Amino acid sequence: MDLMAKIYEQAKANPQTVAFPEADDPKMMQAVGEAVNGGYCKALLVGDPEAIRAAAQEAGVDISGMEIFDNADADKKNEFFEKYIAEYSDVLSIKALNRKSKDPMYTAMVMQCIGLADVTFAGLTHTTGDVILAATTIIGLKEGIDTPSSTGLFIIPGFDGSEGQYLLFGDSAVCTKPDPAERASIAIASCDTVRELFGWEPRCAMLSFSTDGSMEHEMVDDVRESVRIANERRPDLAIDGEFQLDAAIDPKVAAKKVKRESRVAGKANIIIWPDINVGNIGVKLVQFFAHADAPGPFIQGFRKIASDCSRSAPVSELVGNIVMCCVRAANSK
Amino acid sequence: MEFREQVIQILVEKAAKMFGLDPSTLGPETRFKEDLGCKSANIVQFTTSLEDEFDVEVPYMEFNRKATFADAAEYIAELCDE
Repeated sequence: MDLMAKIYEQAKANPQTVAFPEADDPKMMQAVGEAVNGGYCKALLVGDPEAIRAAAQEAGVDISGMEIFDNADADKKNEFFEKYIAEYSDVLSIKALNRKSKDPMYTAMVMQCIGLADVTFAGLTHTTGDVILAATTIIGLKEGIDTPSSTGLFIIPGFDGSEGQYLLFGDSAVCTKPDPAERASIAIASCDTVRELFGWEPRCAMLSFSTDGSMEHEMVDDVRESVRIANERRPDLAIDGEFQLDAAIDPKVAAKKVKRESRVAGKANIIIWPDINVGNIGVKLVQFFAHADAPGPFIQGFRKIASDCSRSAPVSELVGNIVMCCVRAANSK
Repeated sequence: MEFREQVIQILVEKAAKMFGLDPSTLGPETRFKEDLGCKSANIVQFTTSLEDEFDVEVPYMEFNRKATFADAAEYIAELCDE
């Protein structure tokens, strides 16, 4: 069974509740219908009930069994906010929560934080920046994580790495110019994502143009410092470097270039780019020349699972993203 | 108190609380990133406090580009037509 088929099966075995704050969009509604009817999740539709019903009608989706929360219900929202402040985070005031929750995405995330949903899924009518800002504000970052970030999955035909044709990479989409602590955060969050999503034991390589001091430069020092911080914060994880790409993923090259014990060199299943310049170009090189698919990005680093999706995503991609979020949520509890 | 001074006072009090600093060491020239090491979550805390105080929407992306408390105060003054 391939990786995605396993993920779909896992989601079906333990359906999570997903809050959908963009259910007034017919395309999102179609994805909700497919995900719920497929048995992959339960839906909590947050927004204007009339607009949600209109979208359901347009999409031909029966929502009679789905829960709807009316985002205009001020009394109920006030109850949620009081619970959120008492039990989850007191950084925001009721006034601030009332102001922000005019956007149902913020309400959905508050509901998630107080246990009414396991995932918030948005990004079709909000930008990536909007979703990340809302998640940073309401859900907050995990302990030991300094920045939101993202990972993606390479599916590379003909590649025979430590996980076959699969290789996880980060961050090509969110954190543009990470400092050493932020790069360490990307590595740590990527390890957590790989465990939650695929059940792999993470082996994470911090990439550079140098392997173990083969070159000296302040950019290399920066990556080395990231490795040090990551190992200090999460000694349970196998995070190592600095490695060139070949030393990270090819055991023969690693044997030549890495003259010490390493749990990662030559068998990395996660690679961390030094910055988003490399990340963006790297993904496109692999997609273009190796004819690879690269599903994602999966946003990460938050205390709970929130997802972004491409605003031009087809319904099948939305359903796949919903399913992956559910598996991450179930395995992160 | 002049409007910009009031904004700076709010930023000083918030920063002192958030980072456990002596307020007398903070002022108009305090830099969000270099001096305080602010991350995105911290910037959100600043914008939210200012929104609460002045009943105005403070766009995160714009505010995040302000280097110092004085720059931020100028920006909030513009938003509030002060």
